[in-house]
Amino acid sequence: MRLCQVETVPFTFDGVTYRGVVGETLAAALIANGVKMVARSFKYHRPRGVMGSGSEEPNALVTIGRGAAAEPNVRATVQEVYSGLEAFSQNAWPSLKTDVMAVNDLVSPFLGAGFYYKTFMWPKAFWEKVYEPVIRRAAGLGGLSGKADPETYEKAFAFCDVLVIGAGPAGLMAALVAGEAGADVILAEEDSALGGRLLAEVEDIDGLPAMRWVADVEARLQAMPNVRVMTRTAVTGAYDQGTFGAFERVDRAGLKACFWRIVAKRSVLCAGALERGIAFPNNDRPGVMMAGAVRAYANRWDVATGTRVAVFGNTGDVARTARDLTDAGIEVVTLIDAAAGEHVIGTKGRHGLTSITVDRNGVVEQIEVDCLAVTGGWNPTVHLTCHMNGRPVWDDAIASFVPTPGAVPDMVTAGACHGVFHTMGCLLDGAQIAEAVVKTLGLKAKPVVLPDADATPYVITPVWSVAGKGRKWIDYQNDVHVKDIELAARENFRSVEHMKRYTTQGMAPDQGKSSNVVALAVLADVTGRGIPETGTTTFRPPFVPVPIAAMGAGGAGMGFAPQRYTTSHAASAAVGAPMIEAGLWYRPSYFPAEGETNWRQSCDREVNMVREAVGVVDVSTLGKIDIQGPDAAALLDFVYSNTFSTLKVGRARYGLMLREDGHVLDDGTTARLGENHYVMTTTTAASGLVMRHLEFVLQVLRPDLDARVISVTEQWAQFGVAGPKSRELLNGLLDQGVDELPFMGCADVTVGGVRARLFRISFSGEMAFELAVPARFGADLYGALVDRAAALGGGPYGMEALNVLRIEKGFITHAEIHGRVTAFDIGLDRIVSLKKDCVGQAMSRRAGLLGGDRAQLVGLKPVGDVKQLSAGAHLFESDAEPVRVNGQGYITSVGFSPTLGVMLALGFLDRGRARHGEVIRMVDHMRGLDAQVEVCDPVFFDPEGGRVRG
Amino acid sequence: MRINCPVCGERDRREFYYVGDAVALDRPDRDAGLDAWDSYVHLRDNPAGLTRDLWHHEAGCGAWLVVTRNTGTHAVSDVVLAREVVR
Amino acid sequence: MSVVNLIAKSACAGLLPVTIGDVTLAEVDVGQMWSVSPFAGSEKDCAVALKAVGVAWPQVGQRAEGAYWLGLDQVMVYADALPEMPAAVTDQSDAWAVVSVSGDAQTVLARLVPVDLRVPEGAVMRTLVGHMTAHVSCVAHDRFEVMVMRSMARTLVHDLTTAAEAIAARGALDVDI
Repeated sequence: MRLCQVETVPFTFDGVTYRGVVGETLAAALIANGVKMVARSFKYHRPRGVMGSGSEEPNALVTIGRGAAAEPNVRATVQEVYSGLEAFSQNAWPSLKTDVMAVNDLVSPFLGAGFYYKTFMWPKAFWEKVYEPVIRRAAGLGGLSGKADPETYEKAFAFCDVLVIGAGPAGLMAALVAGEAGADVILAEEDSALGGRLLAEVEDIDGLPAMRWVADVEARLQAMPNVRVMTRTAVTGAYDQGTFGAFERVDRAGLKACFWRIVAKRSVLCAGALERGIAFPNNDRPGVMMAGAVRAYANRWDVATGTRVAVFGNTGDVARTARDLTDAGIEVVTLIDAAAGEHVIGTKGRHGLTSITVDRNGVVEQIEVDCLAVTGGWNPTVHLTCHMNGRPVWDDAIASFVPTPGAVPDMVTAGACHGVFHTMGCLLDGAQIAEAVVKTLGLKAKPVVLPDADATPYVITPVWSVAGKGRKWIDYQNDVHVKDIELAARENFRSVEHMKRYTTQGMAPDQGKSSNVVALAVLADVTGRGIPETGTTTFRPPFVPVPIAAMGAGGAGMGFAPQRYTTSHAASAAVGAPMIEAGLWYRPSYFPAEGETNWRQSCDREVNMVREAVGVVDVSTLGKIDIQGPDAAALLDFVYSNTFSTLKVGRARYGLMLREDGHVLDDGTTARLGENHYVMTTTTAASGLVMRHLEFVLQVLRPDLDARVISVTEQWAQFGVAGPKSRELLNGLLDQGVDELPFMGCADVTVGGVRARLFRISFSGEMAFELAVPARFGADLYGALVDRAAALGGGPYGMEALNVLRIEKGFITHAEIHGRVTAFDIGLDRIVSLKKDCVGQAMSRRAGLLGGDRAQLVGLKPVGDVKQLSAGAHLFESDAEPVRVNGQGYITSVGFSPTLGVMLALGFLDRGRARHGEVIRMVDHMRGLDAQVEVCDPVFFDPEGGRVRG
Repeated sequence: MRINCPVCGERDRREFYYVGDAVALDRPDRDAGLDAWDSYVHLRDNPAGLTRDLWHHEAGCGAWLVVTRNTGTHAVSDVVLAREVVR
Repeated sequence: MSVVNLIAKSACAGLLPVTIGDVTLAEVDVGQMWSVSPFAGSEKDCAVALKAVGVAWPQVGQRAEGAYWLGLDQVMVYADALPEMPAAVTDQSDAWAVVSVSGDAQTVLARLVPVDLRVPEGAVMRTLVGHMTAHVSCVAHDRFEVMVMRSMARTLVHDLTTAAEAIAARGALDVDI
């Protein structure tokens, strides 16, 4: 019921249209519309209504929106109303009022704490097929749509000197003092408005309504360029070195939310306090609410939570609540003073509260009410101070836990979360703490005049649970009541952490914000220990639920990883070449010609084209590292297993790089451009790795070497031109002839006057060159090369053909040097020079890495009926059973060789080099392939290398 | 986590590549024997308390850093350029 | 004798410029630029050699006349040609996609860059833009230049555009409420 006339907009809850005020919470709007029951509880499906008025709400979880955009488990006390908002109840079927799973409540004696552990032990096979699906349907919260979330999330970074968390009286004062001292301040407030509890209470500051003072401070903060005020932003976690996570609800204009990483030199936690309840029988009926929430709905939102209200509690808030409600015109039927031994011992009303039973020191009476406001006192919101392992300490004066100073480095607490429970104290605390904080930053706070505010002392007589029959709920979100905790203790789950896990108290979205202290007080009671000794469970981030979509914002689709494109990409895509990913690069797989219907036809044609005419391939993706300096040669001798100091200027050499553990790191060709100048080529996949390795060697292992390395991968567009007509092609294109360039030679050339580099190297076994030009000319040069190749009966070739060409020649890639092979394994032990030290040399000499039964690189050809080979298949003796213990090796690469008319494979076989000619068995258990193969030399084609020399 | 790079200033952990124990700085001679090499390549302490790591400011200036930090509190107490340590 | 006349294509050709809300993204033509890494103990000699051709040696994390800091022991120099220097010099003119972000550049980049961008003009940072290693420099209070590997030009434009669009949505939001 609304207490005044307001302008409203339509929204729906479970398909029924109601009207609410833009910006008020969905909870306020539902209460205003007389909707009491908003949810079914997690386990017993009991009717539940709104309990609180903030993010700690345990009951009123709803789903917002529908279809792919549906967001489950949104707290109705946080969700703001807008025109057309669609909200749905959760965990009820077919409807909230007639939920069939409410039968769980009737069998509740069997569903107590530990029920799952005790019941679903056997038969074991039933767990996955029967128990789990049933439990998942019966118990639970809202569900995900199973579709990709279409809404936009952001993530962002922010930096400040002082992060003030919470904008109640303490936080506002702290932000004001820090801001006026000149500090760079962020004030983060999870509510849509500043003020904290002042939004919900009737108080004066300096003789005027408190919200006037809040508005004045807000204006002063907004006027300061060094202060950023972030509303709707809940700080969710405190992490190392002053890093904080914060979740900002935006929820408009297609933008759902933003996840912030805020880095602060200092932080002031002014998170306030959370009200706790009292455990009494059937205290979970819709209409039983926190007293602070009842006041918030009346005072902030002008909404009455009932027409006949009783107030039950143990602090001055009982009188305060009665006063505010009476002033708002709401009838207060009775006050029950728990501090004086008066208790509520029962409630009635199926879908909403209709009456309570009160015991006043032996005098029992039933009173008709439709709302009961309850307060058991307040708990400082210590959560963030616990995120780095801090443990709060018990404070008898407020009968609750307060933060341990220094629990989070460079964080201090002020106001209610610091255990200060009246407005005057909070203002003072905020000012003083901020003054001290800015001082540590070398700033001086300006003198502040503290306004005059309420300073009524907080007096509490702790009351946790009352006598009486019936379940006394503590954790509403997880359906945990007093007996569950008693049972846990009886079954020896006496540690608070064990009790939590046995009963599930304090889990789920609310993380026990309203229930923790009551629960451990009950545990302390039944175990005969004090509360300080019992301790608390660990509060972990996030303080409020954060959608994964927000944390991973920008990471879907194209934002998943950078996409690297070569300069020839557009031309390849234009002729329909499918792309494959190589690291972050996109490379053409093959180039379908007219009439070709599958990739093999294209691949075979491209291989033949290179062997018979000429092919063009973009090799820009290979890493290129420029190495210069007086010790450039010495650096290469140290990082390569073989020697580069002896390489002549204008020549290139194959190099093999080892890891320090003696295994192969990478390989490639390095050319000497000048006496002290080399350019190293790495594989595409390992270019970043090798660059890091070189920097490691220069900065950590050999800072004595005077050499400099820098990547030039992106500077050059480089193209392979391979085939017997490659020389002819280039002779017509370059400004110089290429006939004089020897195999493994390199030279500076020009193309149409553009400076270029030419290398005579080959990865196909054919006469081949690689031509590099500055990347801006890459696209155009590629076009010219392909046109010229076509005129010579050739054309472009893709990764499939490149792979077949290199397999025919037995050239290795990272399929072979996969991290577990040594130079010995690939037959290159002879190029591990022992005349000098190099990375990996000492460890590569270990007996276990040389000889013995090690698997060695071999070639394999099918010789039986089955002609198909597959990478990943395992090798066995020809008559051996294909089981793991008989395994003798595996296949790393396969391809159909149109040159030899047969499928070829490279692989590793135990003592393989001594077994050429032997017929063995290849089994691919995954694909169901079983073939007889002959072991042979890995170089299948032109073993003498005559073609490459021309 | 944030690391105070001596070149770039304090930066977020995501800019750094973690390598492991700073034992890598003490590379044995090539003929130091397999025990020395085994220890260098494979054996690491796992202290509860101060530890010296090697980090690479890969998405930053490119410097290799020796970072002293406390595995219990996550406090970073010292960051220096690796090449300054080696020299 | 040249038979071809190669045509140059810039890294962001066909992708830029774009304007989203108050933010404009445009490609920067860097002309000829060189990385310079002095050999051991040679920084002073390099600075003297560059000064003769009107280039100032940049401090760590700074732009200077005709040059800016590139990384540990590395600077980038804008010049058609360089004098002889005791340094490793490489042509970097084609290696980068360079995009200027003008308008509320700080707000856009705060979505992508994990460093505090409230820096003075002339500041240069090596850091990340999204998942990409990058150079970010402050050219003016409302203009930054972002430099990533040339092959990632499309991803850079995508990431900047996405960030700018979300900010534009927020801008519309402020008018709505």
